[in-house]
Amino acid sequence: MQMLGGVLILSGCFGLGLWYRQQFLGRLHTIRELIRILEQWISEIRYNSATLPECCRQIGRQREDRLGEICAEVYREYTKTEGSSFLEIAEESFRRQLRTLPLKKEDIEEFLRFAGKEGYVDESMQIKSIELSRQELEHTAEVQQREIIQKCRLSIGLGAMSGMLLLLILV
Amino acid sequence: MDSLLRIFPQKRRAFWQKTADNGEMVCEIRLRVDRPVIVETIRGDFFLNNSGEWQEHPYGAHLVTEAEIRETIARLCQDSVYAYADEIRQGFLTVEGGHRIGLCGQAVLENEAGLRTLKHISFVNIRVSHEIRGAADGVLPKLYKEGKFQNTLIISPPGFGKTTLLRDLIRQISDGNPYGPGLRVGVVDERSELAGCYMGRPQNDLGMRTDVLDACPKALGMLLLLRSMSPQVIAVDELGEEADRQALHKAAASGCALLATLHGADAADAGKRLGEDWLRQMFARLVILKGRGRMECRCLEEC
Repeated sequence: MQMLGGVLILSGCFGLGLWYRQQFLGRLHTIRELIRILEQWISEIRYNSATLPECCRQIGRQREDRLGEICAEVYREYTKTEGSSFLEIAEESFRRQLRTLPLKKEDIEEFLRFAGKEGYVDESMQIKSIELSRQELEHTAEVQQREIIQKCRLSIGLGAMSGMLLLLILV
Repeated sequence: MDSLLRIFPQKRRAFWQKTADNGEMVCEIRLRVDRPVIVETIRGDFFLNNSGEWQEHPYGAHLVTEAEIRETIARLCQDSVYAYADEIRQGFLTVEGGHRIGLCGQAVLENEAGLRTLKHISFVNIRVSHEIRGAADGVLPKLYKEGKFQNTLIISPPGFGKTTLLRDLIRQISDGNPYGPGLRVGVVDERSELAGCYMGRPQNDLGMRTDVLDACPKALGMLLLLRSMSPQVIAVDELGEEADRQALHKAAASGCALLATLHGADAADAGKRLGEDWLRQMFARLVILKGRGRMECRCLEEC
């Protein structure tokens, strides 16, 4: 019985370490996908002269992952609440939906930086404002990339060691 | 008229509800900063009070604020003013429903010759588009000869309903009518007024055999349609430039029937602008509008 309890504690703590590792990897992956979305966004503006809602709808159509669904949902909410400001709706809706992904608050803020402003009159300025968000996310991704191996090792190691420590204390 | 209400931001819609309810009567809505809203109707001008009710005198009328105009433009451009830079440069936007929004403010020049953009937009003119089914019924039989549609030019001063007439003619020619079978109609909708395309979809009914090339210059668009859609009739609004005439000539030479409009008071006016000979060579029928719903059809060759 004691053996079984010990194995459960060890595997539970190890699992927790793995979960943390997955969170770190998931955050990095999601940030990279957000960067791709901003690149798509810029391309839609540059080559199609698309409006911001059109960009959102187009990205929602092109991507089949969760982020694509989020973009499509933002566009749906915009068309449903017809007559309201797209930037207001996009900011609120993205913020609410991105919270369900393994992202930190500051990642979401960096992504949504362009949505907080009034639309620009000049296309190149609008693109620059989105590029600024992209650069900040790229910087965050680089930092994460540098630290990811240590963080992953640390989370698994800490998980395993805390399990052993707990086992020693209990035994 | 829902499409009229959709021009305005959500928070201002209660104010505009009464005007939208009377949309069929409204010709134009004028917004000028610090001046009263003026609704121009077929019954004359009206002012709006603070709750959006119509009144005949300007006393106590609602004064338009700069914020209202800014919010309306942001709404019309879907918070993406950059995407409408070309339209703003030309001084108007066309919105869902085909309504044309004229803009005026401070011009920003480029190289002292061209207009780069308009800033501090303080004057807005909303020209309400009306889709009147049957507007062309009176003139339609005269545009056919032995079941064949004849090249037609509609001449009218601004505000007499030439675009409304053209729209209904396109629909009836495309769907077919008692005087002729349905024909493939290619429409070059340079100002997005005829079809009122929104995200590529026509908001007005132009008939089941109509292909619309939206927001494309007329001369370029006519040649593109000829190559790609093999239309039997080509329809364009507001002829003007030499390039339009050349493209029309090519379309006629390739066997297309023509349907076009021109700003002008009468046939003599049209002759001066396009050239008498060219007019006779290109068109068999002239429809001259003499007021809303009043029109005269003239044959340039044997009827």
